Amino acid sequence: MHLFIEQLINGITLGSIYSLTALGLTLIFGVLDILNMAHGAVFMFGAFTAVLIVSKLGLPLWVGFLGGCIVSGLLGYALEMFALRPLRRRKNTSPLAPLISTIGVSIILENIARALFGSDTISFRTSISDINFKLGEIDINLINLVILAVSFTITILLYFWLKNSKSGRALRAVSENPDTAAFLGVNTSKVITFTVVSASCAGGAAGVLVAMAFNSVNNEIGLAMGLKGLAIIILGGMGSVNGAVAGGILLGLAETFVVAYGDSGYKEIIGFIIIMAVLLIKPQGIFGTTQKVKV
Amino acid sequence: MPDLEIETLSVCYGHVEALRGVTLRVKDRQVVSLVGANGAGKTTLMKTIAGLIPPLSGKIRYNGMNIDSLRADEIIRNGISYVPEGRAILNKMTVLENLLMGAYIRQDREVMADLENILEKFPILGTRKDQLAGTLSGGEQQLLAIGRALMSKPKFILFDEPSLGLAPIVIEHIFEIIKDINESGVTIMLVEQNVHKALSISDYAYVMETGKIAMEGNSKELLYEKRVMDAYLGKKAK
Ligand SMILES: Nc1ncnc2c1ncn2[C@@H]1O[C@H](COP(=O)(O)OP(=O)(O)OP(=O)(O)O)[C@@H](O)[C@H]1O
Ligand SMILES: [Mg+2]
Repeated sequence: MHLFIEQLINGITLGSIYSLTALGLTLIFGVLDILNMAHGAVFMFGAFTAVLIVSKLGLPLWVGFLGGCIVSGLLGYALEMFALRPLRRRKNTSPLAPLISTIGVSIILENIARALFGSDTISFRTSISDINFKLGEIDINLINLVILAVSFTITILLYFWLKNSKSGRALRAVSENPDTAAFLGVNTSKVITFTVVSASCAGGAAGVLVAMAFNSVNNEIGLAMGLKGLAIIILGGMGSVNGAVAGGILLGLAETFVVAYGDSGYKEIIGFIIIMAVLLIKPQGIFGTTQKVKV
Repeated sequence: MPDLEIETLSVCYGHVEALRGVTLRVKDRQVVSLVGANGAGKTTLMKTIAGLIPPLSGKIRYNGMNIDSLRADEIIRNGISYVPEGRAILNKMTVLENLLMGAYIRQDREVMADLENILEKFPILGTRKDQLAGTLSGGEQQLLAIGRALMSKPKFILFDEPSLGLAPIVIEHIFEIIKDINESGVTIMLVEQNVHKALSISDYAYVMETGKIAMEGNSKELLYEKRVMDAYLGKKAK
């Protein structure tokens, strides 16, 4: 039984990071109607930045965490300014243009990462990496608790900000109908920039947390995480915040339990198996809604 | 002078010229209606005033100020609110959230008091306030769109076919509300298919035909003008 509970904690921890990653993607999808294929690369830069700050500069973990968020946020800003906004300004561009543009940015970022950080796995040991304690029969890693606390806090803050604040409402309005938001007084361009930047910050935060969870970082996690993020928001329902959170937790649990009780070879594909199963039953995703057409 | 003045306004969708040199004036505190057949360009004109479509050429002045190059979010900050064709309710938000979005541009402390007023004025919205707006009936959505526009405390409201798809008794109610709003000092520009009703509550009217103003005059006089009906039905005026 205690083994099961330990796996449950591991699964929820991993899942909470997935949720945070997917939240960023789903918010960007909401306001821009595009899949941000550069999200994984932005996430990876957050992770590398934290590792550099903590391991190379010897600064405390929280500085590394903030640094990772800031660098990812800046990358998000650059993505919006150079890859997305110029395309919105032009008329008659293909609806696929921004998607291709984000793929381009992700390739550029992957290459920069390789040049800057090399292709080796860099280990990431922090002051709290090896602290374990027992709660009855259950082994608990302090780092898992920290990760859980951080990712849940960010997720909950984001959730309530979206739900209850004026600017959160404006973001949801832009998501639903940019023209309506605009004639009600929302500067949609500002909201979009703000969304891409904060989603990227959240992605960077998730990157740091993943580096903490696995005690290492390498330049493949960006692509892997980007794809998982996409899988999660398709699973949860595109643009749905609840869907991103639930989908992330579900995937984290599924991966953890497959490794613990099944065959670890299935870890990377279990998510996609779940997606296919869910989409067969509910094609719009768990929390997805089909747009009602009103005449 | 706080009038809305439009001068030789032209608007294009790609190569389709939807407005071709429209000139009109909405005098302060009046109700001015704009009627015309389907496709005449009425909605295009409304959207252009609201800042959603950039004009190709021509001028739009409000309060003596040029507003033709302002974005939509700047237009409403100048006191011009928009109740669009099809209502454009935010379906995934509650009735209350839609009304709060109406007050998005306001910073003052009276927003909550005004919200109470609207809910009192439109009691049906009060009973539905926590419901998702997408679940409201067409008539309720129209009331919500009007309430939302009022929440910005506008000086001027653009109404695009507020009676569209509503039952006669509801239409009656909507027109009453529009009259009340005008009596409270708000200038109104009203697009309607319901020509008779529109003319009966407006001071002045313009008839549009394929992107141009075909006729104008005092509403009371146009009520008896046969050519208005012809334009509405899309026949060529002789
Ligand atoms: N987004 C668009 N792209 C291209 N053409 C458009 C677009 N919107 C409108 N048009 C064209 O512009 C002309 C004017 O349309 P508009 O919607 O302004 O007419 P309307 O007078 O409001 O008609 P209705 O009474 O049916 O609402 C029409 O010929 C229409 O086909
Ligand atoms: Mg129209």
